[in-house]
Amino acid sequence: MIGRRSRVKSVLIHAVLITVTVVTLFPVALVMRKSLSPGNEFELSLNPIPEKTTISHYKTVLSARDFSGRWLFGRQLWNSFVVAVLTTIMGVFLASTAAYALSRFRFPGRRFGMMIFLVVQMFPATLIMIPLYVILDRLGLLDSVLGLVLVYSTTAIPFCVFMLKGYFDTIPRELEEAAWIDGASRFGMFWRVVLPLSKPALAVTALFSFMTAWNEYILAETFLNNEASYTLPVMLKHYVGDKSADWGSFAAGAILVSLPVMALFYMLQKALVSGLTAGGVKG
Amino acid sequence: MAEVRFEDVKKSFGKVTVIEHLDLTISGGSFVVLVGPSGCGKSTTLRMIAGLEEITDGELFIDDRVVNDVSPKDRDIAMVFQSYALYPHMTIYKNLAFGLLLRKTPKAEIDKRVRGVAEVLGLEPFLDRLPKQLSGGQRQRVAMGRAIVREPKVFLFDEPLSNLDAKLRAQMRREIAQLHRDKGTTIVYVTHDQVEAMTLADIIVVMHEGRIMQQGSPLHLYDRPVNRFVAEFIGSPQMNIVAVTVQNKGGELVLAGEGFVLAAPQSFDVEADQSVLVGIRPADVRILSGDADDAEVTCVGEVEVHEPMGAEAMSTVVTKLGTITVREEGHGSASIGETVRLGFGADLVHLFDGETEQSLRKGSQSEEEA
Repeated sequence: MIGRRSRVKSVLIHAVLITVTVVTLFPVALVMRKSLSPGNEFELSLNPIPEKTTISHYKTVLSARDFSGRWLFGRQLWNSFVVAVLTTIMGVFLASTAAYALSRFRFPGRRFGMMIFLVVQMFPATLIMIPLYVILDRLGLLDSVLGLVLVYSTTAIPFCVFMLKGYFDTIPRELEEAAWIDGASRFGMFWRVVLPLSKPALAVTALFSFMTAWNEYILAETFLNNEASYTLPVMLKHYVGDKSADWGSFAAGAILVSLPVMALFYMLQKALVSGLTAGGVKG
Repeated sequence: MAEVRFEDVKKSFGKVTVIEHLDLTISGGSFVVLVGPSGCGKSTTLRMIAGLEEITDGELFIDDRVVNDVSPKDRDIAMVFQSYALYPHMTIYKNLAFGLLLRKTPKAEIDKRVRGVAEVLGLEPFLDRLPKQLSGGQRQRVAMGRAIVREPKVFLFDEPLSNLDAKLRAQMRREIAQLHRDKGTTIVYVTHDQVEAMTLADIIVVMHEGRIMQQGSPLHLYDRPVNRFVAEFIGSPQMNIVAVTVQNKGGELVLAGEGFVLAAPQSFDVEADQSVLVGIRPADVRILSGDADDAEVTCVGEVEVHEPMGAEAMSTVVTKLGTITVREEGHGSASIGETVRLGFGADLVHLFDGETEQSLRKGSQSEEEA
């Protein structure tokens, strides 16, 4: 009896999980279909299997050139890559040092500072778009990779600080005290003991920073005016304008843009899972 | 052979003062054990030597150098933590080498010293493993090894054996004693286990509520406790304490209570009508046989618990003034429910003032001040 019941249960659970997976993946399948089907319109059919296949959309996206003949996709991919990597480096560096200070030192304004970090998280980035625009304009950083990196870092850091502080709090202080007595400086304790033990949390933080920068569209669209300085999401959106819409290229571009993030997820999978549960089970 | 000296040291955490006034000299090469119940300030004292706690006021010397503002890394001390605090991401080899590496010791020298220490502590098979792959006892050895390999001026131990089982603890105790004999380095050792204190120490420092109650050799503390706290803390099982009054009976001073009478020993300063505490160690109480003279009887009680352990037997006897623990050699003569007569040897008791709880032994005041 019990065997039968658990079997029914198992079937039910799997049915639910399969349904949810299908619902989640269906839109992706439709985009996939569009990217491989000829024509610019987005058909309203729900069939995810393309009737005719072509790779012409991918060719269009990959071979796009501007008026002076520069290879756009390459430049934009490079822009996105540079912005995302610099944001990740800057985000992780600043967030880990800030989180360490918040976790280990007691100083005036500590609680207030953490609260501000939290409060800032509550506002959507679009809200600060205009002030950011003005600031970047004054600094002469509009239309530049550096400007975008600064903006993305500031939006990613609060979350990263919280994530890392929570993790640092679980690392026993005695380890640092032991290192201190062993001859390490404060930076040595951080660098040689705390950071190596925080790899899972650092992986999560890095991925979050990378994705923030890689996927962001609105701010990039606002601050970047020159086609050659676009990041990939901005490039994508420009295939679907007010007057004409090339859904085929849009879909192909979307698939191409998501590949690196998927690869990164796959690579960090192990660290991510332990990172998200870390702190829950100590040791 | 570094000397460690506290001069009028005070330690507060915010508004809470943990140590009011500490004067303590730990002479070079000695093995000093700080004991006391939790919260007595012993760990704080150790951490001040390590430099992990700031000193609020007063001065701390290591080898005649004031180290109040010297960072732990520049004090040339090594510490073994209760939790071992091994670096989880480093192999045992790296754990041992870490301190030497930070001090820019040449590679060949590091290797020689790490392997030397590993051999002494039997850690050679584990050098490539991570701490989590080792048992508690092995980790404890690594923690010791990490301290030894640096060859510091002072070793600090913070309850290093409290996470081990009884058998391992006894073994490690012997190894620590051996280490001290071999190296002769100054050791400051914190524990709440009085057996560790008695067996390891040259000098025991008993602390209570941030103050030093008494310091001296283990047997001196056992034989001549200056107050009730030390008397009860040192020795296992604990010393029996009975509250009585001094009475003048025909010119003779006697210690009397309900169903209790004992001639006041000469070696203590007492006067008539004074309330005093009589302390006697379980091994010093005798269960009198039936033909013993009534004059020998101090009090009478009923045996409530009898625990024969082969070589010795513990009995708990309920008297009108409270329970008295008796330790007898061999199998013991008492049986549960039996009424027994107990005799206290007058020269074996300790007397403490009923109010101040200080020892009333002649000359003990001057010793305390010294």
